[in-house]
Amino acid sequence: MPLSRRHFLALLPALLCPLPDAQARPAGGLPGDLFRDRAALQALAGRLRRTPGHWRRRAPALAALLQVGGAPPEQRHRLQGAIADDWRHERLVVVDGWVLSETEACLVQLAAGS
Amino acid sequence: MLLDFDDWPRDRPIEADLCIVGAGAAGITLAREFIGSPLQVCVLESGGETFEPATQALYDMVNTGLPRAPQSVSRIRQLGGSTNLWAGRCAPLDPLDFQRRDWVPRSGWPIDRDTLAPWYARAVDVLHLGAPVFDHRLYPLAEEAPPRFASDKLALRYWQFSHSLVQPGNPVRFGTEYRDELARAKNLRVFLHANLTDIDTGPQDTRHVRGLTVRSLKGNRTRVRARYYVLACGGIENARLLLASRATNPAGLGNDHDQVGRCFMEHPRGTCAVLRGAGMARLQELCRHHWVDRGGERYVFLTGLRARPEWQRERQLLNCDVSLVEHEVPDSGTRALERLLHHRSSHQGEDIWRVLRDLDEVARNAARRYLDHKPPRIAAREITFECHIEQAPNPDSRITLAAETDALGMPRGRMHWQLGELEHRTIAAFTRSLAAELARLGLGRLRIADWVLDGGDGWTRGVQDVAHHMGSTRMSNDPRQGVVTPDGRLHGTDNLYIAGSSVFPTAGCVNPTFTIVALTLRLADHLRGRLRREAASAGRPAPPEKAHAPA
Repeated sequence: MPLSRRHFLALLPALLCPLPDAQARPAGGLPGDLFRDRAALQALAGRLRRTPGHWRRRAPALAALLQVGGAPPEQRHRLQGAIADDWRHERLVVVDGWVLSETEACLVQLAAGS
Repeated sequence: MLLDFDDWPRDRPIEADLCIVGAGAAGITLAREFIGSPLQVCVLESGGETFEPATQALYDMVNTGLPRAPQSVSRIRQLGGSTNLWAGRCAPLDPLDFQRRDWVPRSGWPIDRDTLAPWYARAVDVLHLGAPVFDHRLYPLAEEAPPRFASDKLALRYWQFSHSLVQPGNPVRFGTEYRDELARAKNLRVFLHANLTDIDTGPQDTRHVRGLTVRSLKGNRTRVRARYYVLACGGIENARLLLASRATNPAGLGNDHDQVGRCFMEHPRGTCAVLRGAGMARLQELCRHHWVDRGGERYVFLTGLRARPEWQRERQLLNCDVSLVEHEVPDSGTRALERLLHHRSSHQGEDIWRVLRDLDEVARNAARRYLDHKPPRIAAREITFECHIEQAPNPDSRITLAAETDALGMPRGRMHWQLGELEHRTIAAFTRSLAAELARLGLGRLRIADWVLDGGDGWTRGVQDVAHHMGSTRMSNDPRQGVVTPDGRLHGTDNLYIAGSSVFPTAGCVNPTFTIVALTLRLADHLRGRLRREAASAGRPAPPEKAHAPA
């Protein structure tokens, strides 16, 4: 089933600002309330599971990044840097036409499994 | 003067120094260059001053290639030619478009962009553009601050819109804009309803054109004899007329190397992506219309995004750009006020309510329009990205002759337009780069269209032709690789020239008319030079040099 516009748009604020504010709480290295719309998150993660490509190669790097720890603003800064680097090098994942960076895609997978 | 060929005595020859076939952008530009000279010039135009279905039907073709728009919306057989339906968008080809690119077969013009620059500058006047400016120098003209946009993959594309001085709100439609000038010219005869049906080079020698056969749909006919002939009939008809002139060579005139009609190119266009939500307003500010007010006229510029030459080189891809299509929110107060002011509102109560509700926006746009002289800004519900792709020259994308004939007994054209893998790779890669760069710069998150992502041949369903007909009589130093010389002369002949986009060796991705006019002005200077040399040796009056003609 294609990813709906509503689902993707619901996730966009989180994707554009991966670690929202001080409410973020590390849970297994990942803030548990990263994506408040669980239905949208699961829909995207479900589509990503069926999306071929090399994007999963970013998962170890993302895990390492998250395990560095630090205050949420620092974590956010590191994640945003990784995502910007993906954009710069066009490390992209395209799901039903929607464009995510590989780091974002791995982040969604992690969040959906957390 | 303007004459109806049906009023001309049958079989009475038409004699001239220069005969121009076709009165579209190229034909009229060339004719105007010789007004007031001592030369006798005749122009043969198939159509009349208005649209005539029977004449238009002479354009009907057999299509064996990709689907194409109907002829009625892609070219017009009438005084002014296809400028009767164009939108007026102008930009010069990019410098890389002229260069030989190892990854683009048959690329490389025999002239470069700098060589053409003086004629591009003159084309600005012919098309009534605001200024010879197609880069960041726009901003001081528009009294705007230049935007901050830094990308090593994308750059801004700058277009201008041609601007009629006789039909406000329209681009220059050559048949209307220059009609009176043509009619007044004493050394110029424009024959309407005059169709070229054969180019006569004699039974043995194809080097020299001896005359043309001209016929009308009402049955008139005669011959035209001139010292020089120029075909300016458009990117399809130029090839068709050469192929159909086969008295000496069954393959057609100038077709010794089977090049005529090959490498037909278009600018495939499609909606490659859509943007909703965050970033739209910033992107609208970057890529939008700009007004430049000069001399009591308002000139319109437009900015979009294009692939940088470095990106094309590194990825070995074609040229490509996008313009934004803003889909406005349906009930903006500004638009409601415009409807009310122009008495177009069908629901006045609702429109008054919209104006009051959006009073801030309405006031802001009123200030923009009337104080700052800027186009209004309306919020968009979504933005779609309309891409224009360069097509690589492909000998199998071609025009040939069909078995069917038209009302004058001429073989109809057969169009076999083909697109290749390089065009597909270009649009797929460009859209990904566009998506990544806009996301990186915080200008929005794109959704890429399905056809762009199609891994097979299905991608062509997402693109359409845009009536930019190019390449079928391409320019080359080598007659085995092209049809005309760098001056536009048909290889193997000494007095037949071709004007228009059919001579483009490669297509770039911008609208061709600006380059058509520039190349035609260059051809005019070339012909003027030849005629001056001939006149000097024969002791005849010579055409004067144009003030702006480069050495």
